[in-house]
Amino acid sequence: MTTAASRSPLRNGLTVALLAATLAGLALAACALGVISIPPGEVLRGLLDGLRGAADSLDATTAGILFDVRLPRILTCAAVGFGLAMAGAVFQGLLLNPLADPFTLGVSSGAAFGAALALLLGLSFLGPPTLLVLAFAGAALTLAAVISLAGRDGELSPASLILAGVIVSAILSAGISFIKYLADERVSVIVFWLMGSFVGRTLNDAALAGSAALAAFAVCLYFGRDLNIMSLGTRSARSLGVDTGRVRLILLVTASLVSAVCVAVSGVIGFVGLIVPHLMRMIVGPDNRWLLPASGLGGAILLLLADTVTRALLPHEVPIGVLTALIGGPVFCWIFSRSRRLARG
Amino acid sequence: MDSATFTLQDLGFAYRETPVLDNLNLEFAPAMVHGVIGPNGSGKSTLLGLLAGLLAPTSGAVRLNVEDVSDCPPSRLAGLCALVSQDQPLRFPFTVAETVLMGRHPHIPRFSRPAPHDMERVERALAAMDLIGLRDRAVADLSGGERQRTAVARGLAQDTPALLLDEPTSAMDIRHAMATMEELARLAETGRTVVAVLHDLNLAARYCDNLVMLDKGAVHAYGNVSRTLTPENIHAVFGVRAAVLETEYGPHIAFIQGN
Repeated sequence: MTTAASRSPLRNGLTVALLAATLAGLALAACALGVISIPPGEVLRGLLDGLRGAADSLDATTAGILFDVRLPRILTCAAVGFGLAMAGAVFQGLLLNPLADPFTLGVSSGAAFGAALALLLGLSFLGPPTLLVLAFAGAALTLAAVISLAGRDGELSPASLILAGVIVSAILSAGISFIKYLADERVSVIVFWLMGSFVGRTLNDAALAGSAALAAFAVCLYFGRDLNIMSLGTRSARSLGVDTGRVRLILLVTASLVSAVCVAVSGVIGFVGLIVPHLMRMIVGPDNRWLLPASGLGGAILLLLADTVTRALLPHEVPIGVLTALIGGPVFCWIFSRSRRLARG
Repeated sequence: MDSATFTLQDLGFAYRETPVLDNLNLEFAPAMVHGVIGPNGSGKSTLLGLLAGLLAPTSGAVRLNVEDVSDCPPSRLAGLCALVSQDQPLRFPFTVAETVLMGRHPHIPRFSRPAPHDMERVERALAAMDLIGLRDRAVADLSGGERQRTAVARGLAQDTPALLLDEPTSAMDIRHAMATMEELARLAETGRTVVAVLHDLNLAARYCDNLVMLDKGAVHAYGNVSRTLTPENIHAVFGVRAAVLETEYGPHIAFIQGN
């Protein structure tokens, strides 16, 4: 556990800046690494030229790899990591439960159900984005169901939200199992999608996930102090002037929608949204005005690291969700045991 | 600082169909410590919730000065009236100082850092509740009494004309319980309206200027200590036999028999 002295605004600001710099460096390295490696200097020159709109410093093949394959995938991955981890921090604060994550309320089950349905029936009435649209619709409908179930007490209390989420998730999970059962030989496609992947993502995916993550970040940061105060409990928060019902609804919808976009774009990637906020809370403390940016950046770093490892370093691509847990888990264990030792010393 | 007078008119409240409070007509005036006493389930916490505008009356109204608290937006109410409730979640490692600073929330604009006078209020509240040595400890790691002191300090830091407290001293040791009550008495001397739900009748007798004795959702007795804390009233409301001894420090209640 950090002491208050070790999480002064200056120190937290430096931490967030360091995380941002790490993310930028990692993204650059990820651009360079792959089956065909591009020297980092060339990557940097290519990116700068690309920004200026003068893309003639790279040869056509290299430019194709960089701009059409790697960059969209890297940007999508970072945006999804940012969105999931930031949403995880919001859900933990909102539900007053450190075990909450972006999927506690069934958003992922809803998205998975929509996607599985699209894959089972081979739906493509909207062209290629059909799967994405159905996954998002599934998530949004699930959220609406959870809110209407939990809202019966007029307060959206954490306990009723979690209960409603568990019930709706359970129903949807059964539905997904049934779809898998019906899918016969197509079951592997569904299972693979559910495990999550960034293979073949386009700049459109990156733009969608990126704008969703940034918009959600702005909304959640705006209510950051209110979220801090809500950790005192509903009565205390309201007596301090926080309109708890309204703030809870806004944050719930915002964090759920960004999670839904992330799942629709990349499949179900667990772990990032649960562990990264914990990790960051140990480093920058529980103040959401620091925790949200730190979690978002930490999530982007973790997910991009995992995706780069599976894409460029391993002989075969391993599902990204598996790898995030394999990389993030030990890191978390190390930081956790270290903080326990410090707390006792 | 503005003064705050609560006026209750035919106030009634029911949870679903069960009536909790019925037809209360009371006034809580400034510059006094008002104690609310009564057995479990007599409606004490509900009364505080109604005063703080957290609950909507099923009948009648609570007025804070001239305004109906049900019509008052939370942000405005938070500048007039602080509530120290029995909420105890705090799953996250906020420190004592950070938690007390949360009491300044209504006074600090959304994107501003706390001003020097905000920090000064926090320091004063920490000192009043003997929390200077605990300021950097996580509230979740503290004992029940220390958490209560943090909650009271947060209420002090909010610095409002009215302060409502729900059993603020129930887990404190006697020294801190008395220090808390003395701080409340000092606040009343500066013109503030203090309303505290209290379990310890002797603390209530020692420090309250005015007592409301609730029984089954109705006012059984109301007024100064010698008028309300009589053996007859205590027996009628709490169902125990007690003697009220007059000492040179004021009345002392000796409890004799449980039933």
